[in-house]
Amino acid sequence: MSKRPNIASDHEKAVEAEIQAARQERDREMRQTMDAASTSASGEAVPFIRSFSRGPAAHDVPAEVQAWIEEEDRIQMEHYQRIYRETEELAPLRDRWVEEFFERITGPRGYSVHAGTRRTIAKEEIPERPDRPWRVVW
Amino acid sequence: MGRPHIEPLVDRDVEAKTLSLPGWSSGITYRTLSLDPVNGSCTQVVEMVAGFEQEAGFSRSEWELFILDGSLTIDGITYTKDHYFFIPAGYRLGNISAPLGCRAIWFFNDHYPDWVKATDHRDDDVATGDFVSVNSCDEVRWVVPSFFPQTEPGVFIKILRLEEASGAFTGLYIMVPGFWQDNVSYHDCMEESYHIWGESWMMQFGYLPTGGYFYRPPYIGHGPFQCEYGTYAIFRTDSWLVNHFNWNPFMNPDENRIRVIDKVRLRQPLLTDWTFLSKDEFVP
Repeated sequence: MSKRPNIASDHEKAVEAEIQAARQERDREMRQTMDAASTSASGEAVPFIRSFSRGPAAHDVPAEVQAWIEEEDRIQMEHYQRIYRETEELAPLRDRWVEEFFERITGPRGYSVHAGTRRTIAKEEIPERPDRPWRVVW
Repeated sequence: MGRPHIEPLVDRDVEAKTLSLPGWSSGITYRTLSLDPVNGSCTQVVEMVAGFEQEAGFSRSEWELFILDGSLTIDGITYTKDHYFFIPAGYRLGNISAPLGCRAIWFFNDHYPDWVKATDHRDDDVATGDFVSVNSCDEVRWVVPSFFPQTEPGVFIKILRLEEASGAFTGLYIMVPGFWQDNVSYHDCMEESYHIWGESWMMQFGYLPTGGYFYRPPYIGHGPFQCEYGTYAIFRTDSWLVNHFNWNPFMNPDENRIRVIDKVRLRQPLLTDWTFLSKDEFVP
């Protein structure tokens, strides 16, 4: 159903509300599973976020091309796993880097607000680190 | 299901292979940097050997090509380093050759790289007006980015192609030596970049050298940024780029997109009012 400013009928409002509720439920579920789903049962990293796809090709894909796509995707996922591992190994360094970042933005150097504009962040504005792994590759 | 988050990747870590997809002549090697498993659309660094020749034709996919090194002759005209093409799906190119060899990065946007020999465009529906052929050195000037809030001074861009309807673009950027930006950023769009030359650093991913690449889906936090010696890169988005700056690097992409809703409600209250966005809702 298209969204438009002049939705008037009760039916349209009800359908709209239903769609909104379904989306909110989807989002709630997504938030709950996002952190838990970072690795599969076998311990491999699972890509959680993907970009929008333009969908399947509009023509029949020859079998050899489909095989090529699958092979390239397999290799891509090997790279993904390697990248995930390597960025995990960076964690101790990253912990130091984030402390340095917080130090800089709470000091005279400040936080980059816009272009050359900076502002010093109050120490109490520094976020608390959540009680979960800090995942950077999604 | 589109492309996954590939960041950071260095092209030299990807094995070079011979391209043997239907329609292509021999003499192309490729390294796949990212790929959509649904349709095979991909970003690849390709090398055409000296003497490579490809008969005139078109791809059924929209594609883009940027010459990194060497030259490419198309229909008798020679295009050199830093030349960019945007080629709509079904748009016929004349005979292609690389007498001295050519290294390029190409982006196939609809599906896998294919080639259909042809004497004309596919049909009357081909968006011939969208075709772009521009030498980024000779014809485009460096400008300060106008994405607000803006990056720290020291970044310059050249927009090579802008799709006005969606705001998607392909461009080049440079970061000057000593560039430093102290914030965490994320966007509502996909962002893709390939370091033609130089290096940069991001807190999440560490150092990215020449040949470094990333394909980053929306709402993934990145930054602060540093560039010690300078960077020259090609980059793309799939829709309008807005910098959402903050100083909380621990947020996950879902928390980031929820925060955008709050921001959009303030920036465009009428829009969010009549599109019925609630606080917990995100409509891609």
